[in-house]
Amino acid sequence: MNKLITKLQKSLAAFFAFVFTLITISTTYAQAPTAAAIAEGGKIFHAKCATCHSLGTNKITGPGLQGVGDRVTAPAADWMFKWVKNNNALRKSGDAYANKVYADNGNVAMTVFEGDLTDDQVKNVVAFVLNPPKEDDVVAKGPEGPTKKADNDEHPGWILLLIIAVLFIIVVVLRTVRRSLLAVTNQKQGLPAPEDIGLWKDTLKWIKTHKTHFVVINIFLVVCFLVYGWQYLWGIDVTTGYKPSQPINFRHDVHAGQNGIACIYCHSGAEKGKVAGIPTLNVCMNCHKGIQGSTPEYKTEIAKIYDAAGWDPQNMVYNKPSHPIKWNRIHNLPDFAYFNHSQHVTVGKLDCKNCHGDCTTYTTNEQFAPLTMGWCIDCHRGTQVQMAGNGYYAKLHESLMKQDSSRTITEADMGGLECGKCHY
Amino acid sequence: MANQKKYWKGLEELNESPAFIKARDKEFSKEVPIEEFLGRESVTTSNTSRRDFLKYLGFTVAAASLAACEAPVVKTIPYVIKPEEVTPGIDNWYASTFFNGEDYCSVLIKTRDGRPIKIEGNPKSNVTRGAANARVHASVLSLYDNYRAKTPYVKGAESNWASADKAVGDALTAAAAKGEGAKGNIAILSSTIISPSTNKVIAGFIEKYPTAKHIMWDAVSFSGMRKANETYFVGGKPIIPTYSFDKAKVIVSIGADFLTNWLSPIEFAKQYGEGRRLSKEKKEMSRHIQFESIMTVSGANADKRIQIKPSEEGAVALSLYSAVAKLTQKRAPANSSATPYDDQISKIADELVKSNGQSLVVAGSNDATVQTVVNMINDILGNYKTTININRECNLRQGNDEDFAALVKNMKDKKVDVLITYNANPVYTASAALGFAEAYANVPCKVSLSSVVDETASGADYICPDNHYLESWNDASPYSGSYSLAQPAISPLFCKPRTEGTRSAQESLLKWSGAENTDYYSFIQNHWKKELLPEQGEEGGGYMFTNLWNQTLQSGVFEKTADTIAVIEQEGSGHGAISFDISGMVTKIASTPKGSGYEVVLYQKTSIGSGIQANNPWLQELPDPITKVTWDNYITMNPAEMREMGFGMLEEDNHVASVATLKVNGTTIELPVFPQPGQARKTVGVALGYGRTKAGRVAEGPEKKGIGANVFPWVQWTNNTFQYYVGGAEIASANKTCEIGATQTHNTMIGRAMIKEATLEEWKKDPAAKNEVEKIKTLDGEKDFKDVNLWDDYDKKSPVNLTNNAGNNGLRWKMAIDLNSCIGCGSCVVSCSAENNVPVVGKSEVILVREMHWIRIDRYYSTDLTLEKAAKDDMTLSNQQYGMMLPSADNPEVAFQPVMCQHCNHAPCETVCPVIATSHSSEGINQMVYNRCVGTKYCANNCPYKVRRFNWFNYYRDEKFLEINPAQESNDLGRMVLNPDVVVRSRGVMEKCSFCLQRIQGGKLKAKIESRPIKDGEVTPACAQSCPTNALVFGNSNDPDSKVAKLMDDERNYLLLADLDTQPNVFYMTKIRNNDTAILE
Repeated sequence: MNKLITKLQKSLAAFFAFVFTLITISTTYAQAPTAAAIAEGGKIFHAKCATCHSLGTNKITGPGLQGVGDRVTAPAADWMFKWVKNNNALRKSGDAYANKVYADNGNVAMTVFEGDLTDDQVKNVVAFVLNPPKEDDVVAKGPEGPTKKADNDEHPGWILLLIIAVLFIIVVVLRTVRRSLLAVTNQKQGLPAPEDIGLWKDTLKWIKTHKTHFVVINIFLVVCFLVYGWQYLWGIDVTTGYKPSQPINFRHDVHAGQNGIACIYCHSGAEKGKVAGIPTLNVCMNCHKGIQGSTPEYKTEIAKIYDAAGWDPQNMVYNKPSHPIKWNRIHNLPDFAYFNHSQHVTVGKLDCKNCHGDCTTYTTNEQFAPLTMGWCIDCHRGTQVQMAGNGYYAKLHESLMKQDSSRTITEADMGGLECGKCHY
Repeated sequence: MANQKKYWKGLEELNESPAFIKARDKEFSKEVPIEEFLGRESVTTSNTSRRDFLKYLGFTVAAASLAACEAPVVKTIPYVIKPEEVTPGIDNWYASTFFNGEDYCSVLIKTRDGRPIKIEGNPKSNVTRGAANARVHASVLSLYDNYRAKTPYVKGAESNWASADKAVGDALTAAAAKGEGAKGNIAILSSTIISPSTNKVIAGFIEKYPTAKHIMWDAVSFSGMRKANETYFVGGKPIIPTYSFDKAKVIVSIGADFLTNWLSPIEFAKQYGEGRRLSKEKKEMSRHIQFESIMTVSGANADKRIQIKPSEEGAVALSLYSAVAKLTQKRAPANSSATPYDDQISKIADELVKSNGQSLVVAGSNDATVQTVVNMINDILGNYKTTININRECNLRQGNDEDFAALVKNMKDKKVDVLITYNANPVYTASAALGFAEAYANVPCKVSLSSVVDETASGADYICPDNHYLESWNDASPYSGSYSLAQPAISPLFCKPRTEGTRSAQESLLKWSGAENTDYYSFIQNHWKKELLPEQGEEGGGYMFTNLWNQTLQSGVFEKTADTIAVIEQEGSGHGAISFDISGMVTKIASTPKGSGYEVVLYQKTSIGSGIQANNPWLQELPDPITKVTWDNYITMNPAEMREMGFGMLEEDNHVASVATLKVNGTTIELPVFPQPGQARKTVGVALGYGRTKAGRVAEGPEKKGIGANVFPWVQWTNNTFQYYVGGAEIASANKTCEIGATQTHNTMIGRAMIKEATLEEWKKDPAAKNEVEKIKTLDGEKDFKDVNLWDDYDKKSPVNLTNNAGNNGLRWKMAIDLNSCIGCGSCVVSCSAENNVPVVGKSEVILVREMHWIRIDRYYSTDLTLEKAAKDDMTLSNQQYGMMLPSADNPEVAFQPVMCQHCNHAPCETVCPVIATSHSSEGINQMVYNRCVGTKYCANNCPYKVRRFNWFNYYRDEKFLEINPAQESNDLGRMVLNPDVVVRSRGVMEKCSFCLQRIQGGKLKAKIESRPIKDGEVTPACAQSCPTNALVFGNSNDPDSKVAKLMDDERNYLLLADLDTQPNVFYMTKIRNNDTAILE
């Protein structure tokens, strides 16, 4: 439910942001670029421009592009189109601002994109730069929100207890009321007041007079206990949804979602070996040398990388002692189960999503799959082996196809349920 | 005809003592020692009632389950900057070189996440050719030895490099200032150095301090052999030639245990295996005759073994010389006195001459005279053209005994001011005859470059600890022209800021020599560039050199053919030999000191050797190939003599041995006596390498006195060489007993026909000779076991089996074990322990029959002698004298049989497991799932091969094993050796050989990623990979081209206990003995 609300919030926010941008654009731009064009431009920007330009104010190799539309010779879009396409030509044409930019940036020429990008693409990039995403608006709040969701999940248990407590109080109150009423009626009828035998004895008396009820209730309670107990025991050490706080509030939604960075770029071990691996600081620094964060929140988190790597963002040098980041591990298989990423990713051609969920939406990373043996086995039973095209299976595949070409071979058929495949 | 021989593992089995029969019938033969915890006083005086106990139990269970709800937070810490070549979870392999001053081995080091965890032989080396022995395999654990020196010491106190360097530098300068006249007042004492670069470093050192002298000396010396060769050949160089055991048709060894100790055992074991291998294509094998006193591994593998006393080695050599000389008429026979073995020797000589130059005679003696006689024999036989190459010089064992004696004399005379010991531990290994310990105290400045604070280092003024070889750069040249590089597989473990750290010995010497650049790596590179490869290096512009250097670094080895220059002038057919005065040698040999009483052979064990790695628990727990004793030093003695003297025979309880006192030259040691069939009369054997007092907690034992006793002081100083035996010993009972951890009759298979063997002639006539399967007796008469089978065919419904039917495309793993090739060396056992995280349990647990090795090597003694035959041959032993013992216990034949889980297709263990913790895979592997096992031990009880091992303790956590088990949780250092692909098992679960499932899965995955079928030989379990003789062959039997599939067609193959129809996936090949002709009777 909470998730739904968050989603709703997000989409509403996105909608407003979109409308807002539309209004701004229409005032400055004759031909308002479409949202699709801006998105397309964003992709090109991240691929071609982000290594030298940030969307903020900080300088990487080239100047930061925040408010660039107000700086350059108006109309901004036209000037920037010429500049991006061929800044050399623009400078040679004697454009004053172009030569100023060149001089301000230590006479380092920008790459000429003429020939590399089409005119439309350049237009899209310019559109993107002039209408940068306002990340604060687009993205929902930090990790606090979702953490509460985990709390909400625990409510049913508490509610049950609460209901029981309330019922108990009602029973006690009703009993008292009944007794008082009885006392009053008795008094009226001149009978002696009912003997006060206490709650406990009263209960025992009730049990004696309502044996069938008592047995039925007890059976119900025992069954409840067993069912809940059984479920509880199965759930021990199953940590689906586990999302611990991390030393750096790393956001998959920003990296994998908005920026579309492939999983393999950071978790490069997944294709090669047993562990996918947590990217080391040098991988982070590949991009974050330039990207210092557009919001205060991002800046604080990214500063933590600089601190760990010993990087001085002002002077662009490593001049401090480095130390590793101690992440809290989320996916933690027991030692007696052997799991190898490359078997599943490279050979089985499985998508990361199958086991890790849609990371592009995670604000805090969490455990998606239960990682129980039953969960493994279910998949091994149902998944078809990717035999075709793999030389390892060539002979087997050929002979099987000869026998029955309609046949599907699942992992289980290949012995994927055998103990020794994962336990040694 | 079925085999009539009787096989036994120990005398208790031969004599079928009641205790033995009781023990063999039970899988867990020892009762659980509940007194250990019930016997404690606190238990009997405790007031805890049963009710209280139940309360506590309930509380603990509740507390534990509550605690289980909260999963602990696990940290995961990536690199700051990931090294380019490291991907977490993927192995990196580096080629390197193992050389500890004795054994040379070119190795491959497996590192995982930066930690070396496994050593394998390097197949690219043409010296060791992929072989490695137990010591090499265990050396990776020595890297993580907590006893290693972690910082320099100055005058016994922890210090830093600056002050140590200053103090040593000052002492050296002062000593060198005495001028040329004081030559030798600075001495570097080392064991053999085969590294050209290290030699250059030392040369530089001597240049800087001209009074310095370098002395090489080995704990077990080959000085006599070098001396003999110096005088024997024209050219006069003290060389050791290259031996080729694979080319020899007849091998005669006089006291040389060349398979596990002599000269270059790893290399020789490989060659020997080649020479002994039989196949459909190769119908001949070498014949091996061994003269020796103790039963060595080489002797155990010999076709004929003749027992002699160690003092008779010279006489035997001389007798053999005369016999050969007579037959060939090439030289005059010696006029020596007769030996008791002359009849046999003349037959052997006949055999040698018939082999027509394709024979090899070697002797283990360190006496130059004996070696000269052996040279003459080889010369007459023409072996110098075939099996011995004097033009390829062996650089191993360069130690010179006379130099060492001179040094000790100088030290005594206070002529030595600075003594630097490198890779040598003379305080422990020197013979008492020279009095090194006293002389050592005379040296004012003693510097030790040892990496552990050993007996010598602890007495030194300055300890400048060396790196472990896995942390160091180095090079090596085991033979002229053969080079190999050693590269670090990990940066030094002990380094700043935690400790001052270790430093390679070469860097220390460079520093003291005042070299500008003390980096040993660039030093090696420069040396190679300038001197080894000038044509590629300086002159060739360096480009070619870089290429070649990188290639060498990758392959580990480099062959330079130009270096194999003739070191010896050849003179016609005489092959350069100088004519010798044979009568002089007769006199010398006749004067060999014999002494009355017992002669003590000071031998080296396969595991411990000269004691360098005594602190290595893997080696201590490796059962000796012959005695099967772990964790101990003992006196081996002929059982008949033991019985006469009233010593216990280990029959009633095979873990209780009598203790004897052994007195030699006035010094006495006390050790248990172990009955060793085949030990020569009037001789006893005691192993070197024990009794270490300063080597670490494993070697020092629980009482810190050292395990066993050190017998190095008994080494004789005769004819200016050290002799590794001593006469005139007196042995007497110490009237007490002690416990001994012998595994020889553990897991015995109750006298069934395990070993099948035939002679070479029988095999040539019928390849299936002596390879019948037992019949099953039924009411309808004897039947083939297949006809009385209760089992269903294996896995009828498995789809992979379906695919098998459709063209054998699935995998079916099988292993072949060639009993003819197995030499019993134990390399596989240590290799398996390293690969599979097998815990070390220690002596007390071995005594309780709880050793955990997944693979064991059963050693069987056998004979076809009967009492009647013995009586007919007028054997000196009579039935009365030895009670039930067969006379053949005196000199039995030996067979080795490695046994691991047989991976039965009809596995008896699988059917009895109540929780299905052990099951069968479609690839034929018997799988064991530790996390499912509840420890009923039914499977172990039902296993006819007795290969299952039960975890009686949390070996990795229990403080009882703190000292010995590398995988202790509290020991961060030792744990680094664990293989992360294999689980560390916890208490209460069964474990056993898995066919190295992690390697199989890894190999399959690699093939899948590379999109190709699995190649034969690509997947190899640790045991098969480490076997120096390739006795173990593993592969996919569904692949008709695989080696193992071809061996399945060989008539020699048989299944262990085939009549049980367990259908194992491990099969054996019958042993073939080359002992047909009459000479070997």
